Amino acid sequence: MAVKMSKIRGIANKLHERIDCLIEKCPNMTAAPYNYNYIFKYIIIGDMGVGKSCLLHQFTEKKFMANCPHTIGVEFGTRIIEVDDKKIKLQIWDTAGQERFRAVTRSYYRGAAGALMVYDITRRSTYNHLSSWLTDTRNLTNPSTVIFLIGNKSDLESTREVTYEEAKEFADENGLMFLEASAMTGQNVEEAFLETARKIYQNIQEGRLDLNASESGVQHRPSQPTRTSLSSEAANVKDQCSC
Amino acid sequence: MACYYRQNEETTVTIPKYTNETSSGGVTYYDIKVRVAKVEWMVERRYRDFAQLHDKLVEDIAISKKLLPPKKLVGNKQPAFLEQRREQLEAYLQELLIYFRTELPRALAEFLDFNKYDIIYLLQDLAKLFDESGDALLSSKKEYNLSALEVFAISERLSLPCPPNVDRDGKYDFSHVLDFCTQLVALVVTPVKDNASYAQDYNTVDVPIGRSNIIPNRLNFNLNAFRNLKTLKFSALSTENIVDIELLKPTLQTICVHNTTIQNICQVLLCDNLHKYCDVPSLLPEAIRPPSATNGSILISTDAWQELTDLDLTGNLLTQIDGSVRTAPKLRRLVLEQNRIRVVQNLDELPHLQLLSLSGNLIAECVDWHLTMGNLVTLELAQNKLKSLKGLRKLLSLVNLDLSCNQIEDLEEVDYVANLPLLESLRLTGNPLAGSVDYRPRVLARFHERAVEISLDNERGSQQELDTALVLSALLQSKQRQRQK
Repeated sequence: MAVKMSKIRGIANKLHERIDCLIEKCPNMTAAPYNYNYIFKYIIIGDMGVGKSCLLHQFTEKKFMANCPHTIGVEFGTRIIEVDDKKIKLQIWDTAGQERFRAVTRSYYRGAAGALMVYDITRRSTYNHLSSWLTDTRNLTNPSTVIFLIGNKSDLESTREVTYEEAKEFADENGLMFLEASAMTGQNVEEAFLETARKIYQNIQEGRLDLNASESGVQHRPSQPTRTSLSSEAANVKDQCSC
Repeated sequence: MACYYRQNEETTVTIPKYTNETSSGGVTYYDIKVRVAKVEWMVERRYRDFAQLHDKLVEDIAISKKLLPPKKLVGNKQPAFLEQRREQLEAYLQELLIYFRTELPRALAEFLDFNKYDIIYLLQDLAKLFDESGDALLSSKKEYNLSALEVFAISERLSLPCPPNVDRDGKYDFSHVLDFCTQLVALVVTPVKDNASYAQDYNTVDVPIGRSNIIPNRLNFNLNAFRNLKTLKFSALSTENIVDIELLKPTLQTICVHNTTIQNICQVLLCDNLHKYCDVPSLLPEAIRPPSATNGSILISTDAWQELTDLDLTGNLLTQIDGSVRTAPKLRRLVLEQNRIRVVQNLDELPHLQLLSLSGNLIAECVDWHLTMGNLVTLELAQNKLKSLKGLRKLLSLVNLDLSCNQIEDLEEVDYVANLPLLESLRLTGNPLAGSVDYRPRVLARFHERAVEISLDNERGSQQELDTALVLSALLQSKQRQRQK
């Protein structure tokens, strides 16, 4: 039954896209109000000082932010990326790692499509805390949320305290995606954000993620703002376009 | 500013009085007083508004239909009845507030003006707006005006333990606000939105917002949500309300502050610094630093404004140019019109400065300005108290010079600027010397053969004026030769 439901959802999601394609191909229809098809919501979590804000900054600005101040509450960044020729806007919530902001951080888990869990490869304590971060994530997000583990500061090989192998093992045990990255050199930063998006997109395609659920963390942006239902939209397309 | 989410325990709603003046057509209005902790405001609603609200709540949330006192058609103007109804409506609102302890439904929030004075509900309005038209606003590349209250709400909301989305379809999601803010390039902050009277008169800054007790000038906020800001304008609001500006320093190119009571530039450039009144150290490397600059007590350490090129502080109460301008080494335009500046100083570490406007100040003399601002192209000194132009004689790169409405009497003074090789435009109108006979040709004569190229008071010399000038110039030269002999 569940398998059937997900198949149907997958088909419905693909239909949505097909229609978007049709609309885009029709020059006589009004211009798209949004320049992207989806919004994915991400959250970045992890201990204080592991480099969450720097990862975000590197991803959105392609620059390394030296002496980055402590995050107070939350911060926010966006970037539009492309997956499978689909424009996807990532809305990224960067949370404070400090314990005193834990309540604020927790309130942002809800409705995240992707969670980037960050530790610092040069500080074992940040790695040891991962299980508590993971518990929070599992409890406060929905089952389809993609969790990506990032070992940051991979440029500091000489002071490494956590090996790649043990982190990889931890990730595999818990079904997480995993990469070591460096917010300073930019190595693997792009990959981590994009891999997460690809995985989420794949979940949409395969119907594992319900676009209409309020807490999926994904918003689909139709090219036309006034869509009411699938059928009327399809009829509309037929009427006005000759392709 | 109110925050019901946090302070619902301290929230009360009362209806202290009703009014039914004949001026409003005999309609009875109930004056509702909302109080959230220390913040309070008044809202005026008539019975019909209550009925509409009630219908909506019954429909959406299925609250009891009997809660609202019923409508009365006859005799609804009698004081006894109105007093009774006032009490009933008050009880009704209080009942609703108990029912919606954690979160108000939109209809009720709007009915009680929470969307005007409360962080969460005000931002919901903004989120809806930016969701619908944010992209259009951004693509137009125009500056966007936010009120102090809105900026404050955004900054507070970021440290509030409250999830960003409350509704199902994501229309009121706080992400939309931040999405817009991170992409915004030019921001204007005013005490209230779109109200010209505020911008005009800085004496009114302590006026509260709407019918509340919130005073915009006492709201302290940061601008961390605005990561890509290039232009920041403050009008009738002091920049000292910003508690942390470090994050904007790498991107900001233009700062404008108008119609405030600030008296020092450091209140803008070092607005978040506790030690702003200490001497700002020279930013030059020690080897080439002038000895005088190292003398002051160096207590302050601050990052420079790496991209700031334009600073416009027109219409404030500045009395001097303090050392804080050194923190903006790339400054190209410095506009300080309509202030109370008497002395020009501290400009020696701004090698890129091309335009300096000091119109409408109290400057009475200029001493050897070429030593500190040798690269100036445009200098505006209209409406000051200058008598002599000797100090301008070596500003060799000067092209435009505005000296209108000063106190220059002696024609000889023009000689000092007539020798500037690149000067093209000179304005002297409104000075005592401009009232003399043959003023234009006599000024032009001072430029000798360059007289043709000069635009005096926005106008090239006419043929007749130039002819006269030529004769006068010949006379002047012969006089000079005689003197040399």
